[in-house]
Amino acid sequence: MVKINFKSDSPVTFASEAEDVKQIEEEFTKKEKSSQIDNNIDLSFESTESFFPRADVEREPETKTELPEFEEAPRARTEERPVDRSITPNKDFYPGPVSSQKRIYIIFGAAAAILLVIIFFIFQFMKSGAEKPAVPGTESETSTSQSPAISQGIMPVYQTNVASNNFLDTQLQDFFVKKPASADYSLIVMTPTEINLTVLGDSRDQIAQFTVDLKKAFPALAFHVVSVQNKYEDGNQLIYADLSTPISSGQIASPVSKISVDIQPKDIKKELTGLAQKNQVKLPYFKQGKIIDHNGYRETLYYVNLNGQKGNIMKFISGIISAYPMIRINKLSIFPYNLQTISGKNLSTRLSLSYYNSI
Amino acid sequence: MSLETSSISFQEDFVTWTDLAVEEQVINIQRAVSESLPVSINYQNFQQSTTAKQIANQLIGLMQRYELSPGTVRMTLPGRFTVIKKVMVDQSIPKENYKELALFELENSLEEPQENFHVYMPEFASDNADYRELLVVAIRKSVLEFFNEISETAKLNVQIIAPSCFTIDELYRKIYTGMEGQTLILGWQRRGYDVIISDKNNFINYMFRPYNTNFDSIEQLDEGELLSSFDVLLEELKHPPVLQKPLYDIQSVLFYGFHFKNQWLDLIKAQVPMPVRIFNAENGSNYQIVNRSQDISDDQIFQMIESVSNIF
Repeated sequence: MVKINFKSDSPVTFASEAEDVKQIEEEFTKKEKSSQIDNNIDLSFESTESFFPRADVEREPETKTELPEFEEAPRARTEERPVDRSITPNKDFYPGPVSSQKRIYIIFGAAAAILLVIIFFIFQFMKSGAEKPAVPGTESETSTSQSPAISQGIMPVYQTNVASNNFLDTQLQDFFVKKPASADYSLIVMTPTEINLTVLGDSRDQIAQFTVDLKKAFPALAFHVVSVQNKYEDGNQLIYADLSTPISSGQIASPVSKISVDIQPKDIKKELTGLAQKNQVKLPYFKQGKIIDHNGYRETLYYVNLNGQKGNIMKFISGIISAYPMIRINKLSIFPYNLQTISGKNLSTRLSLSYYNSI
Repeated sequence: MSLETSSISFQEDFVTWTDLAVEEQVINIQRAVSESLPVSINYQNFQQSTTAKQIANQLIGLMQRYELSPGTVRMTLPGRFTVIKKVMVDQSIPKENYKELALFELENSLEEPQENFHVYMPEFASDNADYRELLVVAIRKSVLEFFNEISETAKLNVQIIAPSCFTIDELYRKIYTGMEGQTLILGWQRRGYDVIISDKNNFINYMFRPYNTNFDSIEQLDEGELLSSFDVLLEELKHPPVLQKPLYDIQSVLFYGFHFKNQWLDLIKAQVPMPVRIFNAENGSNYQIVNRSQDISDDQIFQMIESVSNIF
């Protein structure tokens, strides 16, 4: 029985969520303002120190060689700002011809620097050789103060996370690149076991054509139509269709054999807020869910909403995948922010994440 | 113990008023009146301040002419004035996250910002081994205000306002207790069908389907066109053109609604290979609907089903 009385029943309220959202938005606005200042500095492109937001620059020495996120960032920025060949090269990056005297100085300087580096490595090698038996595997602990010890037992989980996340990321990018022209996506929902697409077309024939084209574009995925609904707008009939395909474990690549994990962030909210800020994505909602204790490690669920341009959202998702192997994307939903289809630039995304840490 | 109430049922351009009394297992229709509204309730009209007043004045006129009482009133609205969505949640998702997930799923079905709607999650649980179904119902705040304004202007003491798809679903289950499988309960309205799908345990779905793509009213269509549109609807439900398997397994059909004509029943029975009945409750095994009103004949009870349904 469905009992509903609009006269006396209380509508569903989301007071706590609204407060959370407000708080996060306020935090985001503050950070956005500070990042705008950084961005102003960035515009010169004359200094690599001002290339990143200050928070990232401060963290950089801790993770410079281990985490790929800072290797990815300059590439991302370059994509946003294509190289203009007509601009005169900056002399800091493109020095002009030098004299022969200067060349000699440079050669001597370089030789001295190489010598110093070799001496430094020999010294380090001797030192670590002496300490090795007493403190095994402490490189990650000394590299950052915020990282608790990571047990080797959790590594297979991280490897599986990376494989699963990579699969979702690749599929998502393919859905945009290989989308058949006969209809547009209205909603994309992806999980490691299932992919659901809601598409909007003008007629049933269009939907049928889209289904055929989609099967051709993704022969490994067994898409089938699970529901079709009419929608009337301004007297025009539109058709919404839901397509679904299961994902077998065999379709996801084997767990990545080797990954580098040195930090285990204590505050995942702060990490993702920083990542969102870096990629110019708004993160208006962040909520922690259930905590599940497994044998030797803990899983914490998080629910995250994002708003932003398609390219930036994709970068954010790729950023999670490359920088945080301790996170698994359980569910990823992408839908247009204020339009019917994902053809527009502004998208909303909802992520359901699991964060794994050693206990 | 008997319950006496007035029940007003609105359609887009039609209103039905019944005075009802329930004694034990018998629903008595004491009075039944139906009239076209002076102005259609649609997106343009309900935003005009005069529309609610015009409709309230009509109700005042009905009360005076037929000696109807405004004392205790229940009201139904067409299901299509609301957004009804089923949301599937994984069994592993904690209950405290249901609301936000439901709202998120609903957001995609709304054509306006969510803050323009009241959202309800009535008690509804359809469990499967892998997932649970939640029911989310949204109504535009302005639509609810519109009907509240009608009530206030006509000085009606309204206690319940409910979508008719749910009240009819409940009445069906009270009356037709012995029905097996899924039943298609079809309301013949002026511009299309109210399609309710129920079974003996639960509400399954609701949708509105126009008679044709031009939204022609039932008066503009001849008998052949109407029967053909019913065939198309049934075929679409039983053998959806794009789907690989149908969503429903309909075993029987019930008709109600002011615009249905008795003579169509035999024609439809002849071409539909499943039990087809009129929602007159003549086969009810639990509750009975008895007509004590002189305004309608016994075989016209199906025309009043929407307003009768809001008795429980």
